[in-house]
Amino acid sequence: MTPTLLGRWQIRIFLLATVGLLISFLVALSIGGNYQVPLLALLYVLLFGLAWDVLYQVITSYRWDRDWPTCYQVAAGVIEGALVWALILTNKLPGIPEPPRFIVFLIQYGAIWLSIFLLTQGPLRIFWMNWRYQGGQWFVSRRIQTVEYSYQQPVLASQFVGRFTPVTPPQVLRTSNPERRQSPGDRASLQPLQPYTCACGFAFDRAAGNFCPRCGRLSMQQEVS
Amino acid sequence: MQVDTQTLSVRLTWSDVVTGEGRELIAPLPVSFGRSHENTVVLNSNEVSRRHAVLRAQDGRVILGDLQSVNGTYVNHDRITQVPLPSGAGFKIGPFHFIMAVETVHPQQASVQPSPVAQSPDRTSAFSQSFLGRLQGVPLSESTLFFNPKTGKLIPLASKTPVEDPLPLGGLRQPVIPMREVYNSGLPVMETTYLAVGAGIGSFAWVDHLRIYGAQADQVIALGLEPLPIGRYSRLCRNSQIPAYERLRSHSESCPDNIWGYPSYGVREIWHSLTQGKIGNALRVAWQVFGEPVITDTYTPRSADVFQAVEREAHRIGWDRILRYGKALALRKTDDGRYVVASTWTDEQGQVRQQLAVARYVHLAMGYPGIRILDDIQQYRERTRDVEHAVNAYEAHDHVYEHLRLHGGVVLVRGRGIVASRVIQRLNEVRQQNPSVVIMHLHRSPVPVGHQDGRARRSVSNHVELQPFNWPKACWTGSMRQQLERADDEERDRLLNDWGGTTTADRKDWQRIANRGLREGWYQIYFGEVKRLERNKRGQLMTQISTGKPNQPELALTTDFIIDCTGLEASVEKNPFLKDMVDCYHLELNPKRRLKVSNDFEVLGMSSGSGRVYASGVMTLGGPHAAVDSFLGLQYAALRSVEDLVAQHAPGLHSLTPIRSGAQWFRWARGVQP
Repeated sequence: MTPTLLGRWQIRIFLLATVGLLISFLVALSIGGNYQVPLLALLYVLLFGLAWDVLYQVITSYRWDRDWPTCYQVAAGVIEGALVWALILTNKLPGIPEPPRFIVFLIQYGAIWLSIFLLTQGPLRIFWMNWRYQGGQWFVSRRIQTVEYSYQQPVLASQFVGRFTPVTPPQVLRTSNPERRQSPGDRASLQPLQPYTCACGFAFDRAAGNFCPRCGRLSMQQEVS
Repeated sequence: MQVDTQTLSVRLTWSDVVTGEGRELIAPLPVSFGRSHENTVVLNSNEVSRRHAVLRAQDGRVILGDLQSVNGTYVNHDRITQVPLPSGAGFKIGPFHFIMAVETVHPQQASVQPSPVAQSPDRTSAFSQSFLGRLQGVPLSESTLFFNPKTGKLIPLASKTPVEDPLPLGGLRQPVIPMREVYNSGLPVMETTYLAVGAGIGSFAWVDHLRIYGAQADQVIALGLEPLPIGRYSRLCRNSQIPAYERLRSHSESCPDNIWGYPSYGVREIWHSLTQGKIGNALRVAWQVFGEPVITDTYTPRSADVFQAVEREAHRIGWDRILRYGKALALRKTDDGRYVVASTWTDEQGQVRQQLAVARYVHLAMGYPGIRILDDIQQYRERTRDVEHAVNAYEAHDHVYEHLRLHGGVVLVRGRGIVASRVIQRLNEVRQQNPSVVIMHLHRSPVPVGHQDGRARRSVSNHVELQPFNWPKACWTGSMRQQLERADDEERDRLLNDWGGTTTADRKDWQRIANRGLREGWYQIYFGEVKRLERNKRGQLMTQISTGKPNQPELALTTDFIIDCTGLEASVEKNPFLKDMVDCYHLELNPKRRLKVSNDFEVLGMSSGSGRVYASGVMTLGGPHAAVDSFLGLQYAALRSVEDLVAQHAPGLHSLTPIRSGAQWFRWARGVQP
């Protein structure tokens, strides 16, 4: 998986809010119920991480493959942790007046980082198959996914003799957004076919549109009972 | 050359960066090159300036001048401002390589002359003029080796046009076939919901998704010629010297046998090595997966592992119940909003029989219709009937290596892709046993710099651009995939030109071989355009090339063998089934002259009532995805089209919620049918 910026942010927020929170609670319990410091440390890792992600994306743009190799991911984890720990040691971070023991921070940060690393390497895909194709995003803007296609419906060569009034071919507007394509509950494949017969003698069902697929004429009037 | 300035015309030949299809333009001077539409030759790439370069006549000579472009114009290795260009010389503008030849044509004919192939009033030429509104040169006719429909092997002598079989139902002249006629035809009719035409890896990926999304095996039919989905692919691998133990150029996480891509081939190989006690190999693979592609070479799976895994998955989803033998001939809409596909198969008595398949949803993944073979090699083969000494890398050509092992000799390798790299590696293996093997590598033009896109530039080694896979990695799952999906047709064309091009894998062992060979003299690189290929009295092959250098305009390379590694053929015209469909329904093609598909890989213009036609694979190149002919690209296309079917409430399919997805993954892991 090659992450996009939105993907990085979504992975970070989602996994820190689930796996990260769980591990932080366990760490807090094990050090005697001091919830404030581990949870705030987690919050700082998240906030700084959102900024780090922007930098990572800039680094990615210098790589021809726009990828994020595994060893970069590991290096980034070490640097991020070191920065948060250094800031904790300065006692400047609001809410953490006294630095916890290093081993506590190491276990908390290490366990969270390792579980996120392992999850993003594959197991998440078992449940969200689309996730990897979307650069790590769970949520993709529907506006972006909707693309309208317009194409000229071809008028096929007439295959009959007689009077023929050519019609301009209908401009068909189609959309890739399934919600706009069909009304809800329109189970087209289950509907009975409604035959119409065109003046050219061609029978077709309503789902084929208002124009005869063979001669291209508007032919809804010639309904057979 | 004393030619009147008024009549001086040039013939320019170049090839499409992505598809490799040849283009040709004969035009009177001056000829301008650039990105904007008022140029004679419009080049759609961000590496090309709006007004980039110009060819003009001066005192009967052709002068190439750079118009202060950002990325420069290159002749051989040098960036130039203004040089006289001899006939036959090449130059490079952005990702495009041109060969220029002076044409002595009459002034009346000196206008832009489409060659006879382009004059046929097909919609591709109309399309390129109406949509692109400019001149891009005309496609050159090219030779193709086609597959034998019965054996699947390549037919050694090419035909310019594929053989077209007679169609049933009176030639299927109507675009919409009444079902009455289908039933009255007297031919066997298979009715189904989902029909996959091709039955290769692309069809397999689609069927695999359908089955996991809930379709039953008896709702699906796959129509093809090979008993296994990897049949043709594995044969082409073997021929191009990738035996079972060699590795494919494919990512660890792109698993055609597993739609989730987990566990990846890297993880599986580590696991198998550990269970077999091969701790060393497990550690080596783990280190490679960790360090790729920065510290170590990129991990790629062993071909045998991939093929076995696909076979296992094919068995799991009931491929033997899904597959029907048949060579698809034509597709038509039926009058009840479905499709009928006519096909032929050969029975036990060797008699060719026709059959019809009717389905509401059709998927087309027919792969490469043939192998591109260089025109001069094909002409030589037709003239001399010698298919032993001048071979295509995708043909079975083990006799070349066997002969070289016993007797030594000189081999000419043509083409600079991954296949050429592997062939050179194979020749190096032969050299270990017989050191009197010399490899000559012929390129049309040098590659002084790699492609550039934004802040990134592709690296080059020995005039071959390097990249782990056949597209930049972010084209599969990253930002480049999104960028391409959101672009319009013209921008897609530009992005593909900037990202595409022939590349080879950045493997340290290959570079070691090349560098050692260059140092010791048994590996030589030549540049030039082949004029002709002949056999001398001693039975050796003489390749006459024009180098474009003033001191040595012509050069003859005498070799014992030629291995053509230029590539696979994928134009719509070469596939009779698709050509018939495009002709019958007047389908629009994309700027790369392939099928125009929506972002869900639906073939635009083919919907019929509630019926839909989807496509995947190389025939959709130029659309929403770049790496359409890779394992993961085929799976991506399959996923998008099956999700589109789910949104249309197609029968039997359910959306894959996280719980269903997890449950299906566990069924996969246990080897239980979906």
